[in-house]
Amino acid sequence: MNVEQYIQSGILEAYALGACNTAEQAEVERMAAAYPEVKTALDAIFADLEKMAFAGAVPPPPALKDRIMEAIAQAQTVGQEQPAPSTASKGSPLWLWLMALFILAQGVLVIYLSTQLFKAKRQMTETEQRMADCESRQQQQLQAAQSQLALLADPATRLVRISPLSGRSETWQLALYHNPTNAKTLLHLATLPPAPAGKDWQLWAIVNGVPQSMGVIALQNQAQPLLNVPFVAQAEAFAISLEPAGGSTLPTEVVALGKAG
Amino acid sequence: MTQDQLIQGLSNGDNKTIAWLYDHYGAALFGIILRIVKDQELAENLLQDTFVKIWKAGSTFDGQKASLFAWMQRIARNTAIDATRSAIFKQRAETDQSDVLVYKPEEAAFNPDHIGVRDVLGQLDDKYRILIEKAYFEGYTQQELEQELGIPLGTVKTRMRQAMQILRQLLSETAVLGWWILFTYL
Repeated sequence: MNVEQYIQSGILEAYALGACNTAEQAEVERMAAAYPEVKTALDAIFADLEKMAFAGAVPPPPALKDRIMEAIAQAQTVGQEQPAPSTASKGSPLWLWLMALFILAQGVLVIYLSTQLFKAKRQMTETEQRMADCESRQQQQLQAAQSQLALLADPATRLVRISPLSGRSETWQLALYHNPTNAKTLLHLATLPPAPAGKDWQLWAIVNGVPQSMGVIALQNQAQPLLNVPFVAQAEAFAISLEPAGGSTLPTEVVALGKAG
Repeated sequence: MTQDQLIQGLSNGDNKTIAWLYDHYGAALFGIILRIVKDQELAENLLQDTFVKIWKAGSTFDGQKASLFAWMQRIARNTAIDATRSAIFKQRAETDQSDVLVYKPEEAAFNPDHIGVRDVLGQLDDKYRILIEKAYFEGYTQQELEQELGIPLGTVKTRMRQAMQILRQLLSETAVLGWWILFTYL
Protein backbone atom coordinates (compact mmCIF):
# COMPACT_ATOMS: atom_id res chain seq x y z
CA MET A 1 0.00 0.00 0.00
CA ASN A 2 1.48 3.32 -1.01
CA VAL A 3 1.06 6.56 0.89
CA GLU A 4 -1.62 7.93 -1.43
CA GLN A 5 -3.71 4.81 -1.04
CA TYR A 6 -3.26 5.01 2.70
CA ILE A 7 -4.54 8.60 2.75
CA GLN A 8 -7.53 7.69 0.57
CA SER A 9 -8.45 4.60 2.61
CA GLY A 10 -10.38 6.72 5.10
CA ILE A 11 -8.28 5.64 8.08
CA LEU A 12 -7.22 9.25 8.70
CA GLU A 13 -10.86 10.36 8.89
CA ALA A 14 -11.61 7.48 11.23
CA TYR A 15 -8.66 8.58 13.36
CA ALA A 16 -9.79 12.20 13.46
CA LEU A 17 -13.35 11.17 14.32
CA GLY A 18 -11.97 9.06 17.18
CA ALA A 19 -13.12 5.75 15.68
CA CYS A 20 -9.75 4.00 15.70
CA ASN A 21 -8.70 1.39 18.18
CA THR A 22 -5.33 1.81 19.93
CA ALA A 23 -3.40 -0.25 17.35
CA GLU A 24 -4.84 1.79 14.49
CA GLN A 25 -4.15 5.02 16.35
CA ALA A 26 -0.51 4.08 16.81
CA GLU A 27 -0.26 3.19 13.12
CA VAL A 28 -1.74 6.51 11.98
CA GLU A 29 0.57 8.44 14.27
CA ARG A 30 3.56 6.50 12.97
CA MET A 31 2.54 7.15 9.36
CA ALA A 32 1.96 10.85 10.04
CA ALA A 33 5.41 11.13 11.61
CA ALA A 34 7.02 9.28 8.71
CA TYR A 35 5.19 10.86 5.74
CA PRO A 36 4.59 14.62 5.52
CA GLU A 37 1.73 14.01 3.04
CA VAL A 38 -0.08 11.94 5.66
CA LYS A 39 0.50 14.62 8.27
CA THR A 40 -0.80 17.33 5.93
CA ALA A 41 -3.91 15.33 5.08
CA LEU A 42 -4.56 14.63 8.76
CA ASP A 43 -4.10 18.30 9.69
CA ALA A 44 -6.63 19.24 7.00
CA ILE A 45 -9.19 16.82 8.46
CA PHE A 46 -8.68 18.24 11.93
CA ALA A 47 -9.05 21.73 10.46
CA ASP A 48 -12.44 20.64 9.10
CA LEU A 49 -13.42 19.25 12.48
CA GLU A 50 -12.36 22.55 14.02
CA LYS A 51 -14.58 24.42 11.59
CA MET A 52 -17.42 22.07 12.38
CA ALA A 53 -16.90 22.67 16.08
CA PHE A 54 -16.88 26.43 15.59
CA ALA A 55 -20.00 26.14 13.46
CA GLY A 56 -21.63 24.29 16.33
CA ALA A 57 -20.11 26.42 19.08
CA VAL A 58 -22.39 27.19 22.02
CA PRO A 59 -21.29 30.00 24.32
CA PRO A 60 -21.15 28.64 27.84
CA PRO A 61 -22.84 30.70 30.60
CA PRO A 62 -20.65 33.74 31.39
CA ALA A 63 -20.19 32.67 35.04
CA LEU A 64 -18.61 29.37 33.99
CA LYS A 65 -15.28 30.96 33.05
CA ASP A 66 -14.72 32.27 36.59
CA ARG A 67 -15.74 28.93 38.04
CA ILE A 68 -13.27 27.08 35.82
CA MET A 69 -10.43 29.51 36.49
CA GLU A 70 -11.14 29.17 40.19
CA ALA A 71 -11.10 25.37 39.94
CA ILE A 72 -7.71 25.58 38.24
CA ALA A 73 -6.41 28.02 40.86
CA GLN A 74 -7.55 25.59 43.55
CA ALA A 75 -5.92 22.67 41.75
CA GLN A 76 -2.75 24.79 41.61
CA THR A 77 -2.68 25.40 45.35
CA VAL A 78 -3.44 21.74 46.01
CA GLY A 79 -0.62 20.82 43.65
CA GLN A 80 1.75 23.10 45.54
CA GLU A 81 0.72 21.75 48.91
CA GLN A 82 0.74 18.13 47.84
CA PRO A 83 4.51 17.48 47.88
CA ALA A 84 4.76 18.09 51.62
CA PRO A 85 2.11 15.57 52.76
CA SER A 86 3.21 13.05 50.13
CA THR A 87 6.80 12.99 51.42
CA ALA A 88 5.45 12.88 54.95
CA SER A 89 3.28 9.87 54.11
CA LYS A 90 6.23 8.27 52.32
CA GLY A 91 8.35 8.50 55.44
CA SER A 92 5.46 7.57 57.66
CA PRO A 93 6.66 4.14 58.93
CA LEU A 94 9.80 5.53 60.61
CA TRP A 95 7.99 8.67 61.56
CA LEU A 96 5.16 6.67 63.07
CA TRP A 97 7.57 4.43 64.96
CA LEU A 98 9.41 7.40 66.41
CA MET A 99 6.11 8.93 67.40
CA ALA A 100 4.97 5.70 69.05
CA LEU A 101 8.32 5.39 70.83
CA PHE A 102 8.04 8.96 72.00
CA ILE A 103 4.53 8.38 73.36
CA LEU A 104 5.68 5.17 75.05
CA ALA A 105 8.65 6.96 76.61
CA GLN A 106 6.33 9.67 77.79
CA GLY A 107 4.02 7.09 79.32
CA VAL A 108 6.93 5.44 81.17
CA LEU A 109 8.12 8.83 82.35
CA VAL A 110 4.65 9.72 83.60
CA ILE A 111 4.38 6.45 85.53
CA TYR A 112 7.90 6.89 86.98
CA LEU A 113 7.26 10.49 87.97
CA SER A 114 3.88 9.73 89.50
CA THR A 115 5.35 6.91 91.63
CA GLN A 116 8.14 9.25 92.67
CA LEU A 117 5.60 11.89 93.52
CA PHE A 118 3.58 9.35 95.50
CA LYS A 119 6.70 8.26 97.38
CA ALA A 120 7.71 11.82 98.10
CA LYS A 121 4.22 12.60 99.34
CA ARG A 122 4.26 9.59 101.62
CA GLN A 123 7.70 10.50 102.94
CA MET A 124 6.53 14.02 103.54
CA THR A 125 3.50 12.75 105.47
CA GLU A 126 5.73 10.46 107.50
CA THR A 127 8.14 13.29 108.23
CA GLU A 128 5.30 15.54 109.22
CA GLN A 129 3.98 12.79 111.47
CA ARG A 130 7.43 12.33 113.00
CA MET A 131 7.82 16.04 113.46
CA ALA A 132 4.42 16.24 115.12
CA ASP A 133 5.31 13.26 117.35
CA CYS A 134 8.62 14.85 118.16
CA GLU A 135 6.96 18.13 118.92
CA SER A 136 4.35 16.53 121.16
CA ARG A 137 7.08 14.52 122.88
CA GLN A 138 9.09 17.65 123.41
CA GLN A 139 5.96 19.35 124.62
CA GLN A 140 5.39 16.51 127.05
CA GLN A 141 9.01 16.62 128.17
CA LEU A 142 8.84 20.37 128.51
CA GLN A 143 5.62 20.08 130.54
CA ALA A 144 7.16 17.35 132.63
CA ALA A 145 10.28 19.45 133.14
CA GLN A 146 8.15 22.47 133.98
CA SER A 147 6.03 20.53 136.47
CA GLN A 148 9.22 19.06 137.97
CA LEU A 149 10.70 22.56 138.15
CA ALA A 150 7.47 23.84 139.73
CA LEU A 151 7.70 21.00 142.24
CA LEU A 152 11.30 21.84 143.05
CA ALA A 153 10.36 25.50 143.46
CA ASP A 154 7.43 24.61 145.70
CA PRO A 155 8.21 25.60 149.38
CA ALA A 156 6.30 22.48 150.51
CA THR A 157 8.84 20.26 148.79
CA ARG A 158 11.36 18.70 151.11
CA LEU A 159 14.80 17.56 150.05
CA VAL A 160 15.89 14.11 151.17
CA ARG A 161 19.59 13.25 150.77
CA ILE A 162 20.16 9.55 150.16
CA SER A 163 23.72 8.77 151.14
CA PRO A 164 25.63 5.46 151.19
CA LEU A 165 25.61 3.66 154.47
CA SER A 166 28.75 3.97 156.59
CA GLY A 167 31.31 1.32 155.70
CA ARG A 168 30.33 1.17 152.03
CA SER A 169 32.66 2.13 149.24
CA GLU A 170 30.11 4.17 147.24
CA THR A 171 30.66 7.91 147.24
CA TRP A 172 27.58 9.12 145.37
CA GLN A 173 24.65 10.93 146.91
CA LEU A 174 21.13 11.07 145.52
CA ALA A 175 18.65 13.89 146.00
CA LEU A 176 14.97 12.95 146.43
CA TYR A 177 12.30 15.64 146.40
CA HIS A 178 9.22 14.76 148.39
CA ASN A 179 6.08 16.94 148.29
CA PRO A 180 3.24 15.69 150.53
CA THR A 181 0.98 18.59 149.50
CA ASN A 182 1.02 17.63 145.82
CA ALA A 183 1.59 13.92 146.53
CA LYS A 184 4.62 13.82 144.22
CA THR A 185 8.14 12.49 144.56
CA LEU A 186 11.16 13.07 142.32
CA LEU A 187 14.49 11.28 142.39
CA HIS A 188 17.59 12.96 140.99
CA LEU A 189 19.70 10.26 139.36
CA ALA A 190 22.58 12.30 137.96
CA THR A 191 25.33 10.69 140.00
CA LEU A 192 23.98 7.13 140.21
CA PRO A 193 26.28 4.76 138.30
CA PRO A 194 24.83 1.81 136.42
CA ALA A 195 24.20 -1.24 138.57
CA PRO A 196 26.73 -4.11 138.28
CA ALA A 197 25.95 -6.77 135.66
CA GLY A 198 22.93 -8.91 136.56
CA LYS A 199 21.83 -6.43 139.21
CA ASP A 200 19.36 -3.53 139.47
CA TRP A 201 19.05 -0.57 141.76
CA GLN A 202 15.73 -0.58 143.63
CA LEU A 203 14.16 2.32 145.56
CA TRP A 204 12.37 1.75 148.83
CA ALA A 205 10.21 3.81 151.17
CA ILE A 206 10.37 2.96 154.86
CA VAL A 207 6.95 3.18 156.46
CA ASN A 208 6.71 2.34 160.18
CA GLY A 209 10.06 0.59 159.90
CA VAL A 210 8.86 -1.61 157.02
CA PRO A 211 10.46 -1.22 153.53
CA GLN A 212 7.98 -0.70 150.73
CA SER A 213 9.15 -1.01 147.12
CA MET A 214 8.97 2.13 144.96
CA GLY A 215 10.24 0.25 141.94
CA VAL A 216 13.39 -0.65 140.08
CA ILE A 217 15.31 2.40 138.92
CA ALA A 218 15.54 2.60 135.16
CA LEU A 219 18.76 4.34 134.11
CA GLN A 220 18.25 4.45 130.33
CA ASN A 221 17.48 8.11 129.98
CA GLN A 222 20.51 10.10 131.08
CA ALA A 223 19.04 13.22 129.52
CA GLN A 224 16.27 13.10 132.12
CA PRO A 225 18.02 12.90 135.43
CA LEU A 226 14.85 13.70 137.39
CA LEU A 227 12.73 10.58 137.69
CA ASN A 228 9.11 10.65 138.83
CA VAL A 229 8.75 7.93 141.41
CA PRO A 230 5.61 6.71 143.23
CA PHE A 231 4.46 8.88 146.16
CA VAL A 232 4.39 7.18 149.51
CA ALA A 233 2.62 9.41 152.06
CA GLN A 234 3.91 8.01 155.35
CA ALA A 235 7.53 7.51 154.29
CA GLU A 236 9.95 8.00 157.12
CA ALA A 237 12.99 7.31 155.04
CA PHE A 238 14.05 6.28 151.52
CA ALA A 239 16.59 3.62 150.65
CA ILE A 240 18.47 2.34 147.59
CA SER A 241 19.32 -1.32 147.45
CA LEU A 242 21.17 -3.55 145.02
CA GLU A 243 18.90 -6.37 143.90
CA PRO A 244 18.98 -9.22 141.43
CA ALA A 245 17.81 -8.08 137.99
CA GLY A 246 14.08 -7.28 138.02
CA GLY A 247 13.99 -6.32 141.69
CA SER A 248 12.83 -8.04 144.88
CA THR A 249 9.87 -7.77 147.27
CA LEU A 250 12.23 -7.12 150.17
CA PRO A 251 15.60 -5.39 150.02
CA THR A 252 18.59 -7.76 149.79
CA GLU A 253 21.53 -5.35 150.07
CA VAL A 254 20.70 -1.83 151.17
CA VAL A 255 23.35 0.55 149.81
CA ALA A 256 22.14 4.03 150.76
CA LEU A 257 19.61 5.60 153.03
CA GLY A 258 18.08 9.03 153.56
CA LYS A 259 15.71 10.09 156.30
CA ALA A 260 12.73 12.21 155.48
CA GLY A 261 12.24 15.43 157.47
CA MET B 1 -0.86 34.95 21.56
CA THR B 2 1.52 33.20 19.20
CA GLN B 3 1.74 29.42 18.94
CA ASP B 4 5.06 29.50 20.82
CA GLN B 5 3.62 31.63 23.59
CA LEU B 6 0.68 29.26 23.91
CA ILE B 7 2.89 26.18 24.08
CA GLN B 8 5.16 27.90 26.59
CA GLY B 9 2.17 29.00 28.68
CA LEU B 10 0.63 25.53 28.56
CA SER B 11 3.80 23.80 29.69
CA ASN B 12 4.11 26.30 32.58
CA GLY B 13 0.48 25.80 33.60
CA ASP B 14 -0.02 29.54 33.15
CA ASN B 15 -3.52 30.75 34.07
CA LYS B 16 -3.57 33.50 31.46
CA THR B 17 -2.93 30.95 28.70
CA ILE B 18 -5.84 28.82 29.95
CA ALA B 19 -8.05 31.92 30.07
CA TRP B 20 -7.06 32.77 26.50
CA LEU B 21 -7.78 29.22 25.32
CA TYR B 22 -11.15 29.36 27.08
CA ASP B 23 -12.03 32.62 25.42
CA HIS B 24 -11.11 31.28 21.98
CA TYR B 25 -12.10 27.61 22.12
CA GLY B 26 -14.48 27.38 25.11
CA ALA B 27 -17.67 27.74 23.06
CA ALA B 28 -16.51 25.31 20.35
CA LEU B 29 -15.60 22.70 22.95
CA PHE B 30 -18.80 23.36 24.87
CA GLY B 31 -20.76 22.74 21.66
CA ILE B 32 -19.06 19.37 21.23
CA ILE B 33 -19.62 18.37 24.85
CA LEU B 34 -23.23 19.52 24.82
CA ARG B 35 -23.89 17.54 21.68
CA ILE B 36 -22.43 14.43 23.29
CA VAL B 37 -24.12 14.57 26.70
CA LYS B 38 -27.26 16.56 25.73
CA ASP B 39 -27.49 18.08 29.19
CA GLN B 40 -26.65 21.71 29.93
CA GLU B 41 -25.60 21.32 33.57
CA LEU B 42 -23.56 18.19 33.00
CA ALA B 43 -21.93 19.83 29.96
CA GLU B 44 -20.89 22.80 32.10
CA ASN B 45 -19.25 20.49 34.63
CA LEU B 46 -17.55 18.55 31.86
CA LEU B 47 -16.25 21.74 30.27
CA GLN B 48 -14.72 22.56 33.64
CA ASP B 49 -13.18 19.06 33.83
CA THR B 50 -11.87 19.53 30.29
CA PHE B 51 -10.09 22.77 31.07
CA VAL B 52 -8.65 21.41 34.31
CA LYS B 53 -7.30 18.49 32.26
CA ILE B 54 -5.95 20.87 29.61
CA TRP B 55 -4.20 22.83 32.36
CA LYS B 56 -2.85 19.67 34.01
CA ALA B 57 -1.71 18.00 30.79
CA GLY B 58 -0.42 21.25 29.27
CA SER B 59 3.22 20.18 29.37
CA THR B 60 2.43 17.02 27.34
CA PHE B 61 1.07 18.97 24.37
CA ASP B 62 3.27 18.45 21.32
CA GLY B 63 2.68 21.02 18.58
CA GLN B 64 4.60 18.87 16.09
CA LYS B 65 2.20 15.95 16.42
CA ALA B 66 -1.16 17.69 16.56
CA SER B 67 -2.74 21.11 16.35
CA LEU B 68 -3.87 22.82 19.51
CA PHE B 69 -7.52 22.29 18.61
CA ALA B 70 -6.98 18.63 17.69
CA TRP B 71 -5.44 18.09 21.11
CA MET B 72 -8.10 20.00 23.05
CA GLN B 73 -11.11 18.56 21.22
CA ARG B 74 -9.77 15.09 21.95
CA ILE B 75 -9.68 15.87 25.68
CA ALA B 76 -13.16 17.41 25.59
CA ARG B 77 -14.62 14.58 23.52
CA ASN B 78 -13.04 11.82 25.65
CA THR B 79 -14.20 13.53 28.85
CA ALA B 80 -17.76 13.80 27.57
CA ILE B 81 -17.94 10.28 26.09
CA ASP B 82 -16.52 8.82 29.31
CA ALA B 83 -19.30 10.63 31.17
CA THR B 84 -21.96 9.07 28.92
CA ARG B 85 -20.55 5.65 29.75
CA SER B 86 -20.88 6.19 33.50
CA ALA B 87 -23.64 4.30 35.28
CA ILE B 88 -25.36 7.47 36.49
CA PHE B 89 -25.59 8.90 33.00
CA LYS B 90 -27.02 5.71 31.55
CA GLN B 91 -29.63 5.54 34.31
CA ARG B 92 -30.65 9.11 33.64
CA ALA B 93 -30.79 8.56 29.89
CA GLU B 94 -33.20 5.68 30.43
CA THR B 95 -35.60 7.71 32.52
CA ASP B 96 -35.30 10.72 30.21
CA GLN B 97 -36.77 9.62 26.92
CA SER B 98 -36.43 12.93 25.16
CA ASP B 99 -33.58 12.92 22.73
CA VAL B 100 -33.49 16.63 22.08
CA LEU B 101 -30.62 18.91 23.00
CA VAL B 102 -31.20 20.69 26.26
CA TYR B 103 -30.85 24.36 25.52
CA LYS B 104 -32.07 27.17 27.66
CA PRO B 105 -34.90 28.96 25.81
CA GLU B 106 -33.35 32.44 26.13
CA GLU B 107 -30.14 31.18 24.58
CA ALA B 108 -32.03 29.50 21.79
CA ALA B 109 -33.83 32.74 21.00
CA PHE B 110 -30.76 34.36 19.52
CA ASN B 111 -27.81 32.11 19.06
CA PRO B 112 -26.91 31.30 15.51
CA ASP B 113 -24.00 29.12 16.57
CA HIS B 114 -25.72 26.07 17.91
CA ILE B 115 -27.67 25.66 14.71
CA GLY B 116 -24.37 25.16 12.91
CA VAL B 117 -23.48 21.53 13.51
CA ARG B 118 -27.04 20.42 13.08
CA ASP B 119 -27.42 22.33 9.89
CA VAL B 120 -24.12 21.23 8.48
CA LEU B 121 -24.60 17.62 9.50
CA GLY B 122 -28.25 17.84 8.53
CA GLN B 123 -27.21 18.63 4.98
CA LEU B 124 -25.35 15.36 4.79
CA ASP B 125 -26.93 12.25 3.46
CA ASP B 126 -28.13 10.05 6.37
CA LYS B 127 -25.63 7.31 5.57
CA TYR B 128 -22.80 9.81 6.10
CA ARG B 129 -24.37 11.78 8.91
CA ILE B 130 -24.92 8.71 11.07
CA LEU B 131 -21.26 7.72 10.75
CA ILE B 132 -20.03 11.09 11.99
CA GLU B 133 -22.64 11.28 14.75
CA LYS B 134 -21.97 7.79 16.02
CA ALA B 135 -18.20 7.98 15.74
CA TYR B 136 -17.51 11.53 16.82
CA PHE B 137 -20.38 12.24 19.20
CA GLU B 138 -21.13 8.77 20.55
CA GLY B 139 -17.66 7.25 20.56
CA TYR B 140 -18.20 4.25 18.29
CA THR B 141 -15.10 2.59 16.82
CA GLN B 142 -14.99 1.48 13.20
CA GLN B 143 -15.42 -2.11 14.28
CA GLU B 144 -18.47 -1.21 16.36
CA LEU B 145 -19.93 0.73 13.45
CA GLU B 146 -19.36 -2.29 11.21
CA GLN B 147 -21.46 -4.41 13.55
CA GLU B 148 -24.04 -1.73 14.40
CA LEU B 149 -24.71 -0.67 10.82
CA GLY B 150 -24.01 -4.03 9.19
CA ILE B 151 -21.59 -2.63 6.65
CA PRO B 152 -18.04 -3.87 5.91
CA LEU B 153 -15.11 -2.18 7.64
CA GLY B 154 -13.73 -0.97 4.30
CA THR B 155 -17.04 0.72 3.53
CA VAL B 156 -17.12 2.35 6.96
CA LYS B 157 -13.73 3.91 6.21
CA THR B 158 -14.54 5.08 2.68
CA ARG B 159 -17.87 6.53 3.77
CA MET B 160 -16.13 8.36 6.58
CA ARG B 161 -13.75 9.86 4.07
CA GLN B 162 -16.59 10.84 1.76
CA ALA B 163 -18.56 12.30 4.66
CA MET B 164 -15.67 14.46 5.73
CA GLN B 165 -15.08 15.66 2.18
CA ILE B 166 -18.69 16.71 1.77
CA LEU B 167 -18.50 18.37 5.13
CA ARG B 168 -15.42 20.28 4.03
CA GLN B 169 -17.35 21.72 1.09
CA LEU B 170 -20.31 22.65 3.23
CA LEU B 171 -18.11 24.26 5.86
CA SER B 172 -16.30 26.40 3.34
CA GLU B 173 -19.57 27.99 2.28
CA THR B 174 -19.92 31.63 3.24
CA ALA B 175 -22.89 31.21 5.53
CA VAL B 176 -21.03 28.98 7.95
CA LEU B 177 -17.95 31.16 7.73
CA GLY B 178 -20.18 34.14 8.50
CA TRP B 179 -21.42 32.43 11.66
CA TRP B 180 -17.90 31.59 12.61
CA ILE B 181 -16.80 35.19 12.14
CA LEU B 182 -19.86 36.37 14.06
CA PHE B 183 -19.00 33.99 16.86
CA THR B 184 -15.37 35.01 17.10
CA TYR B 185 -16.57 38.59 17.42
CA LEU B 186 -18.94 37.64 20.20
